[in-house]
Amino acid sequence: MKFSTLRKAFPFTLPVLGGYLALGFGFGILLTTIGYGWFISFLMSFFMFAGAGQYLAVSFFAANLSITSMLLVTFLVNSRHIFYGLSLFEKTKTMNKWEKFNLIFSLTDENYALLSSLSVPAGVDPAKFYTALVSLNHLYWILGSLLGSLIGSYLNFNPQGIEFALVALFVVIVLDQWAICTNKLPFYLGGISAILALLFAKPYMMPVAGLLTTVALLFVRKVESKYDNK
Amino acid sequence: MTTSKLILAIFSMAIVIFLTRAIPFIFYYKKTPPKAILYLGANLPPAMMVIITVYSLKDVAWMQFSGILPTLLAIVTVVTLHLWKRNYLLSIIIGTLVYMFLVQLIF
Repeated sequence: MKFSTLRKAFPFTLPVLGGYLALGFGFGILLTTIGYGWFISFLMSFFMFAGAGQYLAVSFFAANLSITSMLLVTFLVNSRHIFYGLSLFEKTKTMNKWEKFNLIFSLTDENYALLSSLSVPAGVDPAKFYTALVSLNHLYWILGSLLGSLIGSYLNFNPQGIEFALVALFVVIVLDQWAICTNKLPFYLGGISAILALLFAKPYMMPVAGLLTTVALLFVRKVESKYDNK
Repeated sequence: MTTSKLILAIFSMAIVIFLTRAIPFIFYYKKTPPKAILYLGANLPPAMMVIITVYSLKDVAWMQFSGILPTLLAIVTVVTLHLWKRNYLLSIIIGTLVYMFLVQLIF
């Protein structure tokens, strides 16, 4: 990994830096409250790399759930990720095996949001750029959780509300995509699916909304192609 | 919970999470995906971004003023700033500071 690639990727990761340090920090503190220290915190943030997934895992440990139940709930919560890869084939085409593995491994909400919205600066190899991006974010996540485990309980700074950085990041990305995309239909379909899923299937909001949107988009495509053939 | 169960749980959850992320790549490795899948690839991201945004707001206490107001005000700040300046860092930092100020000192 060249330093210049890292330096070019760094500005793009800044919003995630704030969000991940804060959320990771919160995770570290949460883990201390059930008696686990920095090493478990590190293991989880390194190998799982999933915000909602790890917060949830803390509650599994506290309740001493069976491994089967842990895996089932983890699958349901993270099933939203199944839809992410679908739009990243083009971006992984020039990647080698290791880079591809690393990208898939790092496919969090925030990385997906960044990967699907940003344009690679001129003069940088996209594969290396994406790798730098997700690796930096992974580093922030690990760092945040380690800090939370180690110093969380001694700190006087009140971080309450800093997690809003992630909401702000998502809102900004939606606004940018709105400006770029000529087809506005996916925005409406996504919004309607999200609200329906939230009202009728809140615990499984993500997979249900993802499924609804996918079905709706495929239906629209079918109707459109029928219309085109006439 | 025993240490061995803890370690086993962490690694098996890590594998499940990895699988959810890898499924599309496992199915379409080394061949061009069908047109319908490519259509989804182009049109799902904006829809998924809207869904993720709603998801990130799902735990706001929508029935209480103290839940709604800081969130709405901060989002309005982010949207206004971003439509005006189109500088994502500025929009995110100011929006977050507004939110932190509101939840810590006002509500």
